[in-house]
Amino acid sequence: MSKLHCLPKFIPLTKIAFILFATMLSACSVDAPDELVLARDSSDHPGAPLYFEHCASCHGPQGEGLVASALNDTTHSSDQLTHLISDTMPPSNILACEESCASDVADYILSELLQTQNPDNGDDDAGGGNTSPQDLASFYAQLIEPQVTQAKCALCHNSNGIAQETNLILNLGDDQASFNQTVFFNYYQQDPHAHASILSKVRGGGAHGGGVQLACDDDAFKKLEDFLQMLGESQAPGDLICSGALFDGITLTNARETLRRAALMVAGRLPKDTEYTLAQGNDNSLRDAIKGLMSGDNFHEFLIRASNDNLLSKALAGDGDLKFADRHDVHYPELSNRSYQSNIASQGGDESADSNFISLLNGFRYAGAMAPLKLVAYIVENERPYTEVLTADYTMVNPDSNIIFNSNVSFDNANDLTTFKPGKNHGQILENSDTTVIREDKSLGPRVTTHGGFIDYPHAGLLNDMALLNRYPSTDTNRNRGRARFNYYQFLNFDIEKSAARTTNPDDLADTNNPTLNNPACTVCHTIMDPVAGAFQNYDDSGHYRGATGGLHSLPTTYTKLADSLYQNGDLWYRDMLEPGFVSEGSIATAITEQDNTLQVLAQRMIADPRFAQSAVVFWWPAIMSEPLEEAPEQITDSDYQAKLSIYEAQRETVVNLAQQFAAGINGGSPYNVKDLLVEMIMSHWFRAKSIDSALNTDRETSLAKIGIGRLLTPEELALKVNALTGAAWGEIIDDSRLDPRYDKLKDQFTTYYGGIDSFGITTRATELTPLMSNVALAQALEMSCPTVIMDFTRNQTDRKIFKEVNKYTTPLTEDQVQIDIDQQNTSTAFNQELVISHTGAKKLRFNLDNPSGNGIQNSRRVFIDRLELKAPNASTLLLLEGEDLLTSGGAAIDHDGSTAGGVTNENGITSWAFTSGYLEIPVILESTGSYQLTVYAYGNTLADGIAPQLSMAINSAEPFSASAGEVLIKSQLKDMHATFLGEELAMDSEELKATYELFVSTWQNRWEGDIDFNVQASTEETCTAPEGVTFSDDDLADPQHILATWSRMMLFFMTDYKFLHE
Amino acid sequence: MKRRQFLSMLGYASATMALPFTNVSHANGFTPYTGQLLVTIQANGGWDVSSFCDPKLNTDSTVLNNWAIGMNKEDLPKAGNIPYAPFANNSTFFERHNQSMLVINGIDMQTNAHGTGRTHTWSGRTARGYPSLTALFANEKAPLLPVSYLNFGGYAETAGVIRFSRIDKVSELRRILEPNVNGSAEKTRNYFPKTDLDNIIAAQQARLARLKSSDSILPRQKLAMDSYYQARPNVDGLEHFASVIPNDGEIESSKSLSQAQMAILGFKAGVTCAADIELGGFDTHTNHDALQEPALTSVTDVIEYLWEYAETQGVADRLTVVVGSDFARTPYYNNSEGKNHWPIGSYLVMKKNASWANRVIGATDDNQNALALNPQTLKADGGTGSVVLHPMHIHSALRRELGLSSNGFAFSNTQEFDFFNPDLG
Repeated sequence: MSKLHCLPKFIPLTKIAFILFATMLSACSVDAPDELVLARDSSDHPGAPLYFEHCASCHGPQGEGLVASALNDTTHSSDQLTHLISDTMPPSNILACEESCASDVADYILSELLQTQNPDNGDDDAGGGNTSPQDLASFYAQLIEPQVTQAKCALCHNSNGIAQETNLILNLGDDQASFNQTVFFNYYQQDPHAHASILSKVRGGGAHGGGVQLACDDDAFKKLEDFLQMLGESQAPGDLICSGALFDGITLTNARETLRRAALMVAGRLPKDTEYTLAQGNDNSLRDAIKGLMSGDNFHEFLIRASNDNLLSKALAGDGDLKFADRHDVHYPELSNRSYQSNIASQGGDESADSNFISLLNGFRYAGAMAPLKLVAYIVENERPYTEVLTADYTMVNPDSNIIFNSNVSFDNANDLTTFKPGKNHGQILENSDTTVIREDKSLGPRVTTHGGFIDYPHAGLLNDMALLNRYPSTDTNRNRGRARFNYYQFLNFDIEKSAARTTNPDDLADTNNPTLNNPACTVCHTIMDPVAGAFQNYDDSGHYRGATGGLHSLPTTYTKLADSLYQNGDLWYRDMLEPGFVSEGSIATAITEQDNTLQVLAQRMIADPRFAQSAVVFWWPAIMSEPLEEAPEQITDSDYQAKLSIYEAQRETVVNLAQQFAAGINGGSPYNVKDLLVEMIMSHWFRAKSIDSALNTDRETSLAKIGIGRLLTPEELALKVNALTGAAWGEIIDDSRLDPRYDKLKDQFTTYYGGIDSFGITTRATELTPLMSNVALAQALEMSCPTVIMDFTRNQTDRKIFKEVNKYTTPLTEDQVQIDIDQQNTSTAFNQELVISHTGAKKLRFNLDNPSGNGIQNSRRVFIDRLELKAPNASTLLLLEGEDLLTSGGAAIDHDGSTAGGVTNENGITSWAFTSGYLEIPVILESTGSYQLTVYAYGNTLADGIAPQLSMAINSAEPFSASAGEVLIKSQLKDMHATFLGEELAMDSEELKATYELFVSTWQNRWEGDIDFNVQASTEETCTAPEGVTFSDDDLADPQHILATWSRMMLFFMTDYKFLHE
Repeated sequence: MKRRQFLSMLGYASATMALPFTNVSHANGFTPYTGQLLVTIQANGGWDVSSFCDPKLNTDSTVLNNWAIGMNKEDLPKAGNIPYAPFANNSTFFERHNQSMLVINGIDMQTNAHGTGRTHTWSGRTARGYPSLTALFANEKAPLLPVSYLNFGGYAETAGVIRFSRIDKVSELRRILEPNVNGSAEKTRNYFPKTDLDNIIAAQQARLARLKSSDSILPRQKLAMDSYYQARPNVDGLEHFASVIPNDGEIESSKSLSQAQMAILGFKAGVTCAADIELGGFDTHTNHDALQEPALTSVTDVIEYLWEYAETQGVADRLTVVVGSDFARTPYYNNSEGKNHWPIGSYLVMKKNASWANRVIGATDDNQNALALNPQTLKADGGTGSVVLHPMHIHSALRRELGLSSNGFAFSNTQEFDFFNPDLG
């Protein structure tokens, strides 16, 4: 057992804050030097005199930063700045400037001090500005010491600061320029990588615990660069190229392309024509069109998916390794008592009692797992401010959690567990003296017979969502630090683990004097983390509010019952830890003194922190871009370090800018509107980058490695795309026995194989295609392509989803073609049709029996042709043939195996050519274009099913690639499919379309040459299985022209193409 | 009259018209890989080496291990030259495998953070950006295999040198390995004839080659196209993998053993050369003894199974196994009978009948602090150049032993340790 030398009382947060900031503030004074008086009197703004009275001596007359940070680059909003000033400034007397004073000063800073000019002016003086001193000492003293050292570095890099263990220790305060310059000089000399290291660390690279202090385009950064070059003299490298040039020469996707990609991602469909029209107006109308996509079930699924990719709460649903909600949990009497009752009933012989309860339990677990995701979706869909993810005073319930939580929400269908509505948790009790729990029989479980009433759960959005408290639990020794880390990471864009290196010094590791409170090697992180851990004081390891026995707190007995425990009655938190509170970005620490609703107070502090808005950008970024934001590179000697730092910097700038707009309201919209944020991301270069106009060097290739088009669709996105284009998802069924009845193979069965996550062991998506993933896509296409073609061709041509240009008789040879029902029996009847020809020359008349099968019996229908006549456009007769003479003029009757199709018959006194399968083909020379009249005298045998034999009559070209009408139609169809399936707008004469058409023709001809039956399932090598709930008749599968089989293979081609799987 | 003859007579284009597509290699079949194999076993969460391969007794002031209460140094068991803790299933494991095992103790992982620990343990440095040993191995030995690198959920950073594949439920795997087989209730048949499938893939590869030839493609699109291009023509290889998958009744139901089984089957089929196996449950901050025991048992069980199955499948002679964890656990219990994080850990390297086996290199003191190791002698003798071991030393040595180049991922270590020299240590 470790020994702790514990402190006798709580450590007030304010004391720690004072220690951290006392040195920073020690130089502040209210006496204004002459130059400040001059600067003050030059402005009429009411905030000016107040600023100069309270702020300028530390923050500089121009807000440029002196011993305190710069203000002329603040990212705070007016409200945020006012609040900050009112509550905390000036440090020497925080009551000195509140309310109107604070708001005037804030307005003065934002309106008169905030930098508006582009700071990227390099080192040159433009238009008569300041001239930089040329000697090193003066340069450092005038430009580096105030703007960089005192304003930035020395705040942490001093002998008492949080960077005290580094090799760069500066002096904070006045008149330290000479000393600090020497420190820099020595540091520069002792490390060959110092030049690059300093410049990268201030930009957030190199695992800088202080994160980003300067941006590459900042004037202060340029000055620092100059200073280091003066130190390094001839050995120093040249100026860095900032990331501002990252998108030079890059072309973006146009409005139509952008809308298509956006629609497939957020709406799981293609845009409608009206949406395309709207998008192509201007940028604002494109924005409107994109935002218009954000509704409906598929958008809801997008929000759920994107949220879960971050929160991973789905790990708690189903039969995974993580379990949530214990049936014997007496804190939730509805749960434990129903469990008890079901056990009683089971023992009494009710065979369905336990399964009914398990159904409820599973429904509750499902609800728990989904609730945080549903909350996010609810807020976004209803365009509520995103801050509500932390401040929501409700949760989302389904019919089952509605029961356990006593939420009293009404649902139309108690069995539809996928419907969620806002509700409150009124289902938990405290296990105190008012509660009686009977534990009489282990096999029955406990039951609650009396209790003191259900608590008013102090909802604080996701902070105390029950599932998340369980997904990210605590332990007796962890003391909510894991929860603190998670929430900092998700909602403040701050990774505590990476903020400073953990000590591995043996002495530090062996320190048992409460090192997280006393040892600087530990406090560097724990001063930030532990107050937030304390804000979770009311929640035990399983997420119960004041879950300890007695109902007074959530502290573990390993602390409260310890010999020499510090615990005292009434305590909620550990006395040997920092008190609950929050350290905002400006390092202003504030205690949270409220006890019952600590997390609700924390939520307010967090949303006021500018990092909250940034975290929202970070949260949603991967869902749009399919890659997380780049992390700051750590190892300066890596060959791709500079390239990665550039992209990190550029992305960070985007995040900060987007976050500012998001918090204020994007383009005049409501603040914290996620839909508007998503639109801006989609409009950005990051999403729309399409091509480059010149070759890239290695660094730029690395920097641009993960932006723009070419993102692999996730399994869910691909499933929706397939559904949108074909009308069905792979293996889709509605299974009401499942919690989520809608099931498809890609989204459910093969999701992990296609790069998806399981929210537990696999938590990052694959973004590049592997052979296994390729095979999943292939499996989908192989199984779906033929049935999709069959189903579409059974629809009327105007109702088809895909094949709108062609029918099953349109071959590469077809000049014109008609289909007629031979609905006359026993009596030869004239069927006259017009066929229009636009190319003269050698042709074939072709007559096909299209539906030989009937009642499932192959070849049971018959057509009898006893005469045919062909008249030219000038009405002259070109052909007149009697049935028995049909072949003597060079014609042929062919079945699929090359044998003769049918033969001469004499029935009812009529001599005719009768055939039950195959076709008749008669060569003919057509010397003029125009309308030909083809009359066939025929009769058939309509079977008991009432369906007459169908005869198609066509005039075909002799060979393909002769610009036949069929070729034009097929190419037009392929062009459509290139556009809808692959997002490619091709010209009819393009090489790519030509290549696809050649594939079509060769595929068709291969089948033609292969002596294959006129059926899509002509052998055991072919299967065309109808989807669930659909039956294909033999007629559906009949393929007299081998066109259905050909289109099936083309469907396979399109569904596995690179551009189908990527957008 | 046969139709083919008829068509000729009518002057149709030749029935044997050549397809204007690129021939793809898969159409010629698949050649299984027969070279070296590597498996890493990642015990995620921080295993307690003091209860495993670096056994620690209690000191006068501290109980390091409850199992050691009342024990003296002489009581510590040894399998050959390898001491081990009498805990969990260690006895069976070490007694059976000591002749194939090198233990390296006293390695400073330089962190107590899980993420950094995993990065350090499996890539050789704390900073992100270096590939795992497995990724390096797969990239150098057989990058074009259909599932060259199998990862079951552990550390899998590839630094872009190769892509890893993941296998989930085996019942779905069969469907994916043979996507063209329709194993429905009727007899097994294909969805499409193989020739048609081959033609379509060939056409797609040719199309992609045209798309890739543009100079204006951005890097992401280029990489995605390359991934697609390399992924497609692996149909034959994956079918070959399917041929070695046993019946459902012979598939391991345990998650950890299933990983090992799939890795070995991939090796047998010659479609895989490297795999990561991931085990969890080691982060025992509370109730350490009760939780660490089954966790360590899971490690020894999976290693034992791995070697037995490798033997039956005929791949054991080519296999090297590396076992490790993020870091280790404290040399004392906390208030909850748990153990927190401790940066000084160990690796196991295993190879059948290796000359360098049955040795322990590196050491810690009684309080599990790392002792500096002399690179000349591999002993903690305080000799010139002695340093505390870091993962990069182990990775450097493993790269040499496995015949891997640094390939742009060099380490900055100034000392090299010849762990695999049986004459040292």
